[in-house]
Amino acid sequence: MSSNILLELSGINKIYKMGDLDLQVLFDVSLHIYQSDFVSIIGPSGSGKTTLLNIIACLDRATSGKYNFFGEDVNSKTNDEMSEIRNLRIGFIFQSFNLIPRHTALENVILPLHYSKKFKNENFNKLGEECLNMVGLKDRINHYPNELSGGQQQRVAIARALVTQPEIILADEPTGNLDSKTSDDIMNLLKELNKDKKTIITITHDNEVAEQANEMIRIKDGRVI
Amino acid sequence: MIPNYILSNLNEARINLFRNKTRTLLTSLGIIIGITSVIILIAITNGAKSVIETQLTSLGAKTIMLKPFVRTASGQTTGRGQNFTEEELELIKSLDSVDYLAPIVKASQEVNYRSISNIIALVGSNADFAAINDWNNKSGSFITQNDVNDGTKVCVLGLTNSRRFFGAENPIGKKLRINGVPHLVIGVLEPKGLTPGGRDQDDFILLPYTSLNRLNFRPDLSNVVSVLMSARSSDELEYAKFSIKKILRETRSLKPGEDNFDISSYEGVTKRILNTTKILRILLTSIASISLIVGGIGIMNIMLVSVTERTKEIGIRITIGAKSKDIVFQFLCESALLSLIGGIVGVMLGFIISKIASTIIGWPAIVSLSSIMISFFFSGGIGVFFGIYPAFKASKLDPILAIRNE
Repeated sequence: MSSNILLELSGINKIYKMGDLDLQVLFDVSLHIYQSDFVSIIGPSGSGKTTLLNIIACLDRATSGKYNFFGEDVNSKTNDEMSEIRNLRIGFIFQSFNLIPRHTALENVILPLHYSKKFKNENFNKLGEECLNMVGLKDRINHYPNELSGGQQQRVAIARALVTQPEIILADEPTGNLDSKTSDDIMNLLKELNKDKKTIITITHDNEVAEQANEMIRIKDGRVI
Repeated sequence: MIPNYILSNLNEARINLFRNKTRTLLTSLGIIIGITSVIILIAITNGAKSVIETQLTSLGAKTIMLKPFVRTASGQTTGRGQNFTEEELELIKSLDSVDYLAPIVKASQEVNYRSISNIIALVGSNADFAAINDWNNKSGSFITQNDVNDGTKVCVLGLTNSRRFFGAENPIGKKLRINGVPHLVIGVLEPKGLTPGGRDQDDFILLPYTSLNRLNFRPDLSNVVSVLMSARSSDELEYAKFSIKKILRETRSLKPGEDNFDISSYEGVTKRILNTTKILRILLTSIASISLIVGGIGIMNIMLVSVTERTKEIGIRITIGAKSKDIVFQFLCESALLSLIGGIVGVMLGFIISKIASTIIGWPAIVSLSSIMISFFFSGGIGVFFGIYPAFKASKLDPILAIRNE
């Protein structure tokens, strides 16, 4: 494990305002994530793990506390700057795959490239095909999501997460919709990516999945335990 | 990157629009109707204008009359002024705004055929005389530029004189003696009848103006009582008059106020008729614009539906890095394309319907390139304008909530 800190959360609180009521979801959460880590965040539903993931993912801002992302304070970023961070630094994998149904596998994979200045002179299709090749879907590039199995769809999503070559992969219940055999395949794929120096953060309520990570962060009632 | 970015957005828009063809067609119906009516209205009013213009020609609405005169010390105008020169007339004729030019020379002389003899009004002019006065031949031919150049001894008869000298005989090929000199009759003009004042317009004989002057041993361009000209269109009448004035002032080195010529036209008629067509056009265009606005609102409505339907997709896009402007641009492309499709269909329908209408109502429908360009520009603009609100609404979605939307 490298000692290089990528993400640093300290004293993170998240409070949702529900009318007159304040609902605090996260209490004084502090954690570090190092380069090439494979971390799983585990907790029952309602524990605040999704809120934590949204904050880590630069999709949401903490009510208070400090979040350093590659040494930069995320709280001071604009929405578009956060979009750029997500685009280039983070690859997303979701429980429900979240592919765009009327796009082919390849079109789905290259979607993040359209939103990036960094790749404007690259051949999108070539980059996309490389990523699909990496996840073993070379012969499915022109298939639509509804023509693919759940496992294949999740592989497409992983290829999409990899296409901008981000340092971090965030996986939200990546195996939640898959059978155990396919789940193992996907987890193996994530482990391989971790070997290639990708930092992987996955959230799950499934102990079996969580245990495959190098480090486990348990969260309950909005607190890290 | 820019073209690639735009292309992929347009392609995205195309995929979305073609996925739901019925909805796309129904949504763009407002724009289709609007653009169709704009095209038809412009085509029909343009056609009407050209018909009116042809009719105006025979009424003399495009005619400009140039007369020489002399200004006396008291400011009155009298008698004959400076004769026009070949150079002046050539310069005027070369103006783009002037189509035809005919000098008019007048004389009254004795004309006889066999035993019939009479003093007849003679008019000397050139080949353009027919076009300017919209006066065609009943039979035979008209004087040509060659006749004018050579001063050929030919003449064209007003119908009254054809009857006076030849009765029921065919006068063409016969020779009339004008001032004792034989002239070959080459044609007879259509009758124009009496003026409201009771003067017989057909009681004259037309000769090349050079022939008439040479008959009286005068230089070719002497005794020109007026020069008749026809502007290319009634729109250009004023400009033509201005240009003619300028040429004459320059060639004659005149200061303003020293003009020794007079230029006039039936501007009143032209202006009034052109105003009428303008009012007609404004009226019809405003009706068409209402339909375009209604069409635009239809587009806005369906784009709002589309944003709601695609909330999840927008959430995915924002999550993986789309910025607000990317989302705005994507939806603007879609609404612009939707509206442009309406525009294209509208132009085609408008073209077909105006062609059909023109055969039914019997005047030409002129679909101008400019009306097509305006239609495309307008429909695209409507799509963008009415797409702005839905597009901004989409870009402001919270990705966390949007992505959970099913």
